[in-house]
Amino acid sequence: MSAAKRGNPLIILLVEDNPADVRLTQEALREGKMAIDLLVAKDGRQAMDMLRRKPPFSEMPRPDIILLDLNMPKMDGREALAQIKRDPALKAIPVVVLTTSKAEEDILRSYNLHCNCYITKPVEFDQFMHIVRSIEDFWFSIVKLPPKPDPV
Amino acid sequence: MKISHKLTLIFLGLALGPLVLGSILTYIDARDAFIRQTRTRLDTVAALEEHGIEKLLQEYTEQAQQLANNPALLENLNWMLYLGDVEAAEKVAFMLEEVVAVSDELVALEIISPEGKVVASTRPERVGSMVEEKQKPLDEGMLHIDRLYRDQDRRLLIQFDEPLYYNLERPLGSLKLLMQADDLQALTDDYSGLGVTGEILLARRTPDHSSAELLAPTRFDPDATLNRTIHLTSSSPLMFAFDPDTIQNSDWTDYRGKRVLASTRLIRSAGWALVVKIDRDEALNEAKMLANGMMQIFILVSLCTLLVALAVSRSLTLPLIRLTQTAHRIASGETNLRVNIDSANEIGSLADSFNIMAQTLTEYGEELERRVQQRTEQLRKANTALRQEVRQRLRAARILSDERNRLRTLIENLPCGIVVKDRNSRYNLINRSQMHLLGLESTRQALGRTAMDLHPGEAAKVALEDDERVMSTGEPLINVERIQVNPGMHNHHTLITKAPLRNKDNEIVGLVGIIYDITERKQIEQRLIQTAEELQRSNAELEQFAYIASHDLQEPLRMMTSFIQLLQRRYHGKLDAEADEYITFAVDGAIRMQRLINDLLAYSRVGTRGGEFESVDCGQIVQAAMDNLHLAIEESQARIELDSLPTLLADPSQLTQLFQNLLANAIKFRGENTPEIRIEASESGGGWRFCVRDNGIGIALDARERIFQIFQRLHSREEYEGTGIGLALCQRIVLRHGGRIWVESEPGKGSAFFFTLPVNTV
Repeated sequence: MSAAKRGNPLIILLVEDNPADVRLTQEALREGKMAIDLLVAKDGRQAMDMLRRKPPFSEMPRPDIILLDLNMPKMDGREALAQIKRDPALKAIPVVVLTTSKAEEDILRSYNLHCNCYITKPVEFDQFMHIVRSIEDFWFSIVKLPPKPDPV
Repeated sequence: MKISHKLTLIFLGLALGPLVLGSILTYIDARDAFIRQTRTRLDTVAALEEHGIEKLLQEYTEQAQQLANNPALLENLNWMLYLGDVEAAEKVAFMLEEVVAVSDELVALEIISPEGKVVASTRPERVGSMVEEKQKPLDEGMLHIDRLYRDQDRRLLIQFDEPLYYNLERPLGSLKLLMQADDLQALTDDYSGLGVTGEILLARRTPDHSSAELLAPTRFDPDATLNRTIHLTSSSPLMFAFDPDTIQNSDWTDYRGKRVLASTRLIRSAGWALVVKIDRDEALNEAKMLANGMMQIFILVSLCTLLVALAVSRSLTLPLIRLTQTAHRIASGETNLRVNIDSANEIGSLADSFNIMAQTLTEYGEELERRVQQRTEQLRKANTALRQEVRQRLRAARILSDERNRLRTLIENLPCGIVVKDRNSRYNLINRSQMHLLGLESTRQALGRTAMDLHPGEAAKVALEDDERVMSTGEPLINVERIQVNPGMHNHHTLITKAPLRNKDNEIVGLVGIIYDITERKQIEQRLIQTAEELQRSNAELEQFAYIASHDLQEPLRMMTSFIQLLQRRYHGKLDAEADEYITFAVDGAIRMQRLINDLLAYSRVGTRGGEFESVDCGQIVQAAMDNLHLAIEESQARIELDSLPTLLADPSQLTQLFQNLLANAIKFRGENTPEIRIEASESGGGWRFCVRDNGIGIALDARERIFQIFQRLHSREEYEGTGIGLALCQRIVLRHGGRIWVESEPGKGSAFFFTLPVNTV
């Protein structure tokens, strides 16, 4: 059952320290067809707090997918990825690493930490748009996501 | 002395010497044997004679004793003497008469009373007379036989006195017997076995013991009995007979004064001396005859020997004399003379040899003559050659001297140090350069001294060790770096070469050293190393900087690009035309900057982020590059031809980049033509030479170096897009692989980019 059919907006947690990138992502998603709730965490620690509904994020809904940047202050994306995939309650949530890094070691490491896919941010806006839409398409139309557990 | 005389003497000596010696020994031996034989004979005779005398005296004694022990006589005598019985006296007289009558030898019997009065006698006129003192028995009770005398009738009588006892205890006086001693006289006249001078003497001592009275006739004095007394001397055999202890001498002389051989006996029962003797001359007569015989033989042998010796020596020396004479004559020039000795013995051989020698001598003489001439000729030639040789030598010596001068000048003025040291590392030679290097003012200061003598210290110790190693092993030391200590100045770095110096017997007698002062070079080297290190560091820093810069530039650039594009997307046509144009310029600039940064990043990554070298198939690499460029290739309809390309050791992504850049350039700078590109590869100098050839616009000659520098562009941006990094990157990649890159081109007709890659072992 697709999220769109459910009538509820799809929830994406974007973990990104750069507000410009957040804005770009929002702009890209706005041009899409689906109703998407974009939640933003500005670093890894905040992302984990939100995912674990620590105050003040106790009302935080469980995201359908996480877009995770790697280079961030406080807790970087690598650590956040490791924690998510170690956490039995969280590890089912697909994590898409979205970063400017093309370094092979980053790519390999992320997959070793069980990220679900790794995407390099393109320089040009058109291409970025294309990618965001592709993510939207792929994860919310093509892929069957795991069922959400009932909120406690 | 002549050989013949010598030979004769030797012959005589050899023959007669042993003969004389043998004769003398034989004579002495024979003489002793004769003497011994004679003595034995004399002893035998003496023993027989002694026995005869003793036996005779024994017979006499027994007769007297028998008579003295007659019981009837003694009974009657006892009666007569002690009882005055006349009848008994008559009976006694009668018995005496009877005994005398029946006896051949008894002349008279008398009985003498103990008082010395004749009481009975066969001679009646003596009865009643007293016995003369000297005729008394000497000792009572003993038989005395030492009375020998002649009576009135010149009969030789021997008197015995026998004591008479009645019943063995009463003395009855003595019985006096007078017997003829003819038997005794007869005993000494048998001279058989005693030659012609042999004699037997029987004697008794005179009362004063100084002389002896002969008791029997001798050979030379038949009337000797009681007629002749002989004075006893120490050489008298009679003396020895009487008293053997007093005389040791056996060289005796008899009463006639002749030397005699003798055997003596003492007739014990009478105290007489018996001497059996023979003249020494007679005893040795046979020995003398033997000696005479031997002398005759000796003389005969001597004569024979002499004759033989003379003959032999003459037969030996005669040919020798002839040889000598011939030799003298040959010596004086008669070289054709020969000796003629027909003999088969050594002398003959000698003569033959002599003849052969003479012949050979003659031949040699001729040969010698010929050789002398030959030699004279040779000497003359040699002399000429020698003079020439001397001239040549003198010239050579001059050349050598010039050569030495040149060499000396050369050594003196060489810019490097030259030394020659002896076996004990003492300087024998030192040139000016080395003198300066050692800080000396004159080369003499170093001669005969060692490095240690000049500047003691660690450097000198090392130098001496080097010397010893070279001289003991014979291995040269080549271009070894050593410090040369020079007091008062800084230390010099030198490059030394030391080689052993050998004499003609190949013994090491020293060494030759060559010293280069490389202090300056060393300093330059040091600076060069420092510079290189600094360069490397700054290069690395630069690369790091370029990488980080380009990487960190990416992020803000991406923001700029993204939002300008967003702006263009959202507001295109909504603002005025000018605003649209500005936005277009900004997007274009951002995109170019993006490319520039990417290219710069790639350029800086060649050194710092290069991958491992691995075996790559260049065909596949080119194919990958063409795949990356497929849009451009399709668009330009470029034709690309490939040779068969090798497999070699390289960084595959960089190699891909290299080919991609070159192909991209070939397409980009195609001009009006459809690009025709050819990739060639050929082996060259231990590696491969690649060529990417196009038919494009070509490159001006003066730009062919410049195009490989970073940010160098030959065309305006309007003509050809580009960052000016592509070929610089190519060069960097080729350099990293150890090759080089260059271009050959004809403007308007095309370019050929060449690069080489060495074949690294897989």
